[in-house]
Amino acid sequence: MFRQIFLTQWKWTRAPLLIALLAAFSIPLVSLSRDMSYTQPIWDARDLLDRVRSTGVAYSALAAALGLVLGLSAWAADHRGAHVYALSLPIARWRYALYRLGAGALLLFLPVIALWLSALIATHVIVIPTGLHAYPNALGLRFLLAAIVAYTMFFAVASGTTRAAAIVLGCIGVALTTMILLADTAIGRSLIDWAAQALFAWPGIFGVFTGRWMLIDV
Amino acid sequence: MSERCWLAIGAAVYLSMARPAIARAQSTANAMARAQSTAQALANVDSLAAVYSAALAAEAEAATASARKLPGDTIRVGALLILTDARLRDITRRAAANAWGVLDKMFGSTARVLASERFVIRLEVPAPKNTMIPPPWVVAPATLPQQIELTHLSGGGISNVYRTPASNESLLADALSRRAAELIVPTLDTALVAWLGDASSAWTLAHMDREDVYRSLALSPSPAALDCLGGAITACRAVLALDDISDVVGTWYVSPESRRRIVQTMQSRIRLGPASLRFDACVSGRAASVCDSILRSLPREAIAPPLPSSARADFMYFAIGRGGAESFPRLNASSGSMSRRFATAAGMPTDSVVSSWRSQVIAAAPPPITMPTRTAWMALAWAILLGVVATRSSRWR
Repeated sequence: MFRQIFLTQWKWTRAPLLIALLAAFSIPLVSLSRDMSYTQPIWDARDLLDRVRSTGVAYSALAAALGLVLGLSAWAADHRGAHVYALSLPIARWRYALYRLGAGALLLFLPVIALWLSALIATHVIVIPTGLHAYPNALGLRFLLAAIVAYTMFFAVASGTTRAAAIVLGCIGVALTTMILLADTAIGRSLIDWAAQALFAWPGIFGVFTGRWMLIDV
Repeated sequence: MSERCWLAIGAAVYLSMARPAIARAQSTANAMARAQSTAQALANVDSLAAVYSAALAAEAEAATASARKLPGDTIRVGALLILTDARLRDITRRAAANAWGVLDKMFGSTARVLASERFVIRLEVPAPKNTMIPPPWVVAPATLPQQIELTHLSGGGISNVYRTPASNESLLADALSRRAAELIVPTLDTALVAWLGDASSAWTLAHMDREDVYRSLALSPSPAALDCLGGAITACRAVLALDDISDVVGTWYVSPESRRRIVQTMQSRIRLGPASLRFDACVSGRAASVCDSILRSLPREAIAPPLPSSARADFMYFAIGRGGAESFPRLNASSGSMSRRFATAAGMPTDSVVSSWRSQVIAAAPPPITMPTRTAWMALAWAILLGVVATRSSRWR
């Protein structure tokens, strides 16, 4: 049954997945494309780091987007069909949800592997200046974990009722609006600091998104 | 009409005609009264201003007298002689001990020039408002309550005032060692001070972050700096300017790209000079010959060195540390190229010092980018938690 669920999910998501796969494969190569023509160590390490740093946000954005697409599309057909298919299966709800989760997580690995391979290729093709180091494995691992967190988050939101999803998203919207409205006040600033700390610092849910997304660094 | 009626009408007419005149008379009387009160008020203001000026002068005089009055306690640690208040005796003694430890380790017997200096550490004397105490009695308004001011007696007056929050012993020690180092620097060999470059930052005696030196080497636009990291000791000597270099451009910035880059980093300086027109041709047009001509037209000291002065200071501290006691006086007293002087100070060949320093710098390289283990575990924990939430959802219940 897992195989069937996996195949149907692949069918639903293969188009956006292919785009994500191409994007994941392109980002490391594009970030170092200027340096691939050099046969000598790159003369200006600072420029190289600036280029690598500027593409850092693309990795985290892609991880979030990938999680969003896979997480929401995993339940889209069920929502459209009023869950008739799922109800007709002779398995418990939790097992069905687990299959869906697992199938999406497996699909998630395709862009992750593409990014990791691309990072390996890019860092092997260029001559890295002395004193700098390549981190394709660390980048790949960070991308994997960030994508998994984003995927499970959106999967959990989409797995509930529309009302539950609306409540979750509404709460987030109210919190954001409140913070924007109070941004100029001391309370607002401390609220924003607190929220940022709670979400992005360890053990916050988005802790893995922060940090240095650097393919090459000192 | 009776006579009484005519009298009433006449009185009414008279009153109606006389009212404006009465009003004018009243207004004139009021104006006169006001004029009198204004004049009196002005006189009062003048009187008050005189009293206020006298009070301000008295306050200023009191503040000046307070500023001139030196604390009674004397503390001597090494060559440091400090006048302080009884209340600050303990913190001053500890700070002075720390400061002298740093100074002695760094300058050795050269720090003895401080014996002729006197420092003053006391609670800050607030300046009176709206007054200015003429120099050399520099007393700035208090920005924080209970600040300590550190001053130095020179030429019968008090020199610059350093302020540190009270009870912060390490800051006070740092301020004391800084000020003392500033007093030592003018007595040092000028070639040594010139080699260090930016004296104000290089002589701060602050803890040198060797990781930053590594970054400076790794990210320097100079190919020689990268060669140094790669193990070429000659390149290290070149970027540290230990030897007399006749062609700094050719030695430090050997590749055309690095020359373009260094011209770009000196943008503000070059754009103000006669080479401003050629700047764009070099940087945007990537004309290597133009970059060369710009750099050749600049005086040698205008060419930005491959490493910041803090890296040279780090090398100097390292060499002094290798040389043991009195290595700094040896460095200061020696002559010749910096290479020879450092060999004299460290008591070993320059290449050995440079090689050891390079090893230390490489050992201080920033840690590799790895995700903290706890971050990775926490991400997995969040993913599992969200997965559990998803499987527990009640969409069709």
